[in-house]
Amino acid sequence: MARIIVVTSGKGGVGKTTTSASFATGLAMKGHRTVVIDFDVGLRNLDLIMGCERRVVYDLINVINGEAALHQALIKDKHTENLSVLPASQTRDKEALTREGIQAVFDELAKDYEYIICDSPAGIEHGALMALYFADEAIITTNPEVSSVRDSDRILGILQSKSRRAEQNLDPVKEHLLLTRYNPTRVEMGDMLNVEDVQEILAIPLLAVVPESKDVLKASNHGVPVIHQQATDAGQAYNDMVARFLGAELPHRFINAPKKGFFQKVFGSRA
Amino acid sequence: MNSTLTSKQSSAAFQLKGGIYTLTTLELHSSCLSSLSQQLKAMSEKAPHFFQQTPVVLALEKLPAAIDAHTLTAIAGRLRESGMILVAIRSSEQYKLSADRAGVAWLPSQKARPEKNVVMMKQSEQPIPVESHESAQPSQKNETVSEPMPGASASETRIIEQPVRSGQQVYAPGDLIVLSQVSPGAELLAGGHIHVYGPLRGRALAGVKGNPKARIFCHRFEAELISISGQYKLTCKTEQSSWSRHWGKSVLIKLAADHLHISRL
Repeated sequence: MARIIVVTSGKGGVGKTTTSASFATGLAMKGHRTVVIDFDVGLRNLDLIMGCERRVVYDLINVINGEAALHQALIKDKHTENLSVLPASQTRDKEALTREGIQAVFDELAKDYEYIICDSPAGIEHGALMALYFADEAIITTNPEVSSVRDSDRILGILQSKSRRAEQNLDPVKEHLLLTRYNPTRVEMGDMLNVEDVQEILAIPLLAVVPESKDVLKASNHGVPVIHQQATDAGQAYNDMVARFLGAELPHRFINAPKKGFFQKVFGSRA
Repeated sequence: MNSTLTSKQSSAAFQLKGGIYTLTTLELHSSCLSSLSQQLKAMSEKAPHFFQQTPVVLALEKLPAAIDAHTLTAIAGRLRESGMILVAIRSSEQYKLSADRAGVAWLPSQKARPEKNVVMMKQSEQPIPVESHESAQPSQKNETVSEPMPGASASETRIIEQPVRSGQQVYAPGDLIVLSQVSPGAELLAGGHIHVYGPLRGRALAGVKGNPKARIFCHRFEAELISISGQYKLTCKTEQSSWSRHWGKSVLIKLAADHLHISRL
């Protein structure tokens, strides 16, 4: 049975697409057949981060509307085996996303894939609701900043009340907190919320902390998910995230400012 | 910009300004006057002062059949009786003239679109059938209950075990007990007491049906707003008052002599 995982946040620009790309890549690198779907209809981004924008012919909406077969729209990732991308449409309206249509696409994907990763658009409108509706698990992407935390809280409420699992009284959606763009130096200065602050407000288990890093932007612009760059903090953080998601028990890293630790010696100060 | 305009035209008797106001819309689903009166009465019993001088837009789109001017006048009368002030009628063109005769504004019908708030409203309205069932039991209550006893009936009590998240609203006709946290931006409403066995960071409104004896109990007081029977207080950590001393503490809030009092539990 395929697991459907939504990467969501409420707020925009917190790193949902970056996370979706690296998380899906990481699962595939561990040998799990994974597909990552862009739900941000109208603002196609995932294909850019995955570096497959020139190979997009058909998209999710085409498949939902029956204008293309699923295998025609799926793009096999060039860097990673076991990984496919289902891009969003840039020209259609998000209203074209229907529950029945998505259900049909998921049913078909479930035959071939173990993990279905849904990259949610920002906000709590139709597109975001459709992305989270079928989710079994949710990765709540949050920045250490009050408005992002508030929006994540709102999304958690929606997961509790408007997801399929909530509507059908099944086990609730399993929630994971992913803290991204975390800058330990600024946390110590009191500019940013710290991990405990965020966890106290959201009260869900912490999956990983991804440090703020120039490498993320660089990787995005090159169309290579940052998890491929294992020499970087962010790449390693996503690696930890995937391992923890799959059940490994790892201590949390990148929470404290790099003062005299091993990482500073290896990578230098990036704060 | 406004100030420059007024200074130039200082002799002008008035100035037009635009403003956006939130208005209550009463969406009429039936033209049956008696059921309308009944529902209005039930609502004003729940919240006696809620509709006093409330401007209301009457929406007629959802009516199954057209109504005549006479019925419309009667409906307007019922609204007035319950304290509402009819300011406009929202309908198709056919009622434009009636609206004019009634001396209120006419607004064109809005395009139907999925209203996300409606879901929220329905959720919070869920306990209402429980209550009507309650009053259907003959010996239980008289027609005119002078004052609903706080926490009178266990069936009106609602227990919430999950966190109440930002943007969520929970209503209980009687007592409301939350076993988890209440996030900032969340809202608890109860006819009776409110108990929160976790951090209370959102809003808590107890005794919303006008019960000054209702109290709020919480394990960690970090609320944005608390209210008992309409008396409310905005609260924050940095505020210089006796309340800030209790921030993050286990407290009890009650109403005495029209003032909210906080004390440590």
